[in-house]
Amino acid sequence: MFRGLFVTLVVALAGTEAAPPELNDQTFAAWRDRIRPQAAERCFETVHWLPTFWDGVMTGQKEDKPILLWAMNGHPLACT
Amino acid sequence: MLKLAAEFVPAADEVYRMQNLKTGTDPECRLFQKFAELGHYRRPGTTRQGTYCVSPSGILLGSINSNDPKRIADLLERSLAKWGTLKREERLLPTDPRKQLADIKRPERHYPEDGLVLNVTSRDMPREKGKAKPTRTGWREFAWNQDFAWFTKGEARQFVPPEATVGKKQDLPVALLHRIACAHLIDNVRGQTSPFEENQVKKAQLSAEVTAVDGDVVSVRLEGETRTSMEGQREHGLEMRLLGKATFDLAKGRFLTFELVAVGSRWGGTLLNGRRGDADAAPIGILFTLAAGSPCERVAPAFNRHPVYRPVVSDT
Repeated sequence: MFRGLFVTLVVALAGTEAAPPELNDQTFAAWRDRIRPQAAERCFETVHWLPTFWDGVMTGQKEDKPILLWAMNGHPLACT
Repeated sequence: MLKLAAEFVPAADEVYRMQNLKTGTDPECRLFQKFAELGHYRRPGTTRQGTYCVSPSGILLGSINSNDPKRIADLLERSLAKWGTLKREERLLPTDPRKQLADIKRPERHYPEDGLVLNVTSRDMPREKGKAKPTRTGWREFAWNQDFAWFTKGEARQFVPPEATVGKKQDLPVALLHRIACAHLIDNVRGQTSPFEENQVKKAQLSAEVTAVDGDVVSVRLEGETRTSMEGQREHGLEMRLLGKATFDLAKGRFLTFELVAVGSRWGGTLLNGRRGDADAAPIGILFTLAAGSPCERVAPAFNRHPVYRPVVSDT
């Protein structure tokens, strides 16, 4: 799903370029880099999210701070 | 907004498990339900997705479901103002929540500390004109998704031939192949999807060949192919070629590097994966890379309850 809140740039991916040829040792890096998320796509990680709500509760209790909970169908830090 | 967020403890979580009033009975679920039922979505049976600001004791400070930065910033400001009005005994739990951790039976407690954890990224690949229908413009064009793949220490070792000699080669066991094929070579690019059942694996082969040995560090080349498909009303499938490389430290018993690329074709769609009108075969790419072990990367695989994950996520 679209993590729109945390994407500040629309990354013009290489979708407009021709696809690399078949996957082999010479084209491996090109394919890898084409699939790997760009830095802008991972900008939601600039916030240091704890991976569970209870991790937030434990830390909030210890530090006497409120919790900011991002809740989605599918974990927001994984598959949504 | 980031400055405001720094006043909070940020946490992310999957909502379906926590909001279920019937099955969500552990302390984490019950605390979530306490405030979520008062939030922006109150109607019974609907989603509780959104952004919540809450005290550790479960007092709702504010909530919204929006991706508008200004509205989120406003939420954070209002929530901090409300937080400031709460007495300490109101905003904190009466007992240490760490004492209840053992009562929360979630899959993250099976995180394979000494095993292999991989980031898994999926993305549509460019479509050649005339060979595949063009992608609709908008978010679908740039969509991607991610997940994690887990392997125990013993399973991780099976990615490397037992004899660390250049040229030695072995096929990965069926159990590991099926986990990769059923739970991770899937089309979740545009949204959640269903895994494949093991009997829907039509072809699966992945070999590991030792390409170099430097002291305790063994380099391997991974190569293989898979085909998974489901026939019927929700016909869909993937046919993938896999190629990768990794280095394994025999003394430490863990991978130092791991990159596995899977490219091929996907077709069809499932209930929620956003392929309506786009079911024709088209290229897809899936990448497996070594996770660094940060808190953000300790989320359980999406299909951790699938039988292929039983060796990793099991209470027995």
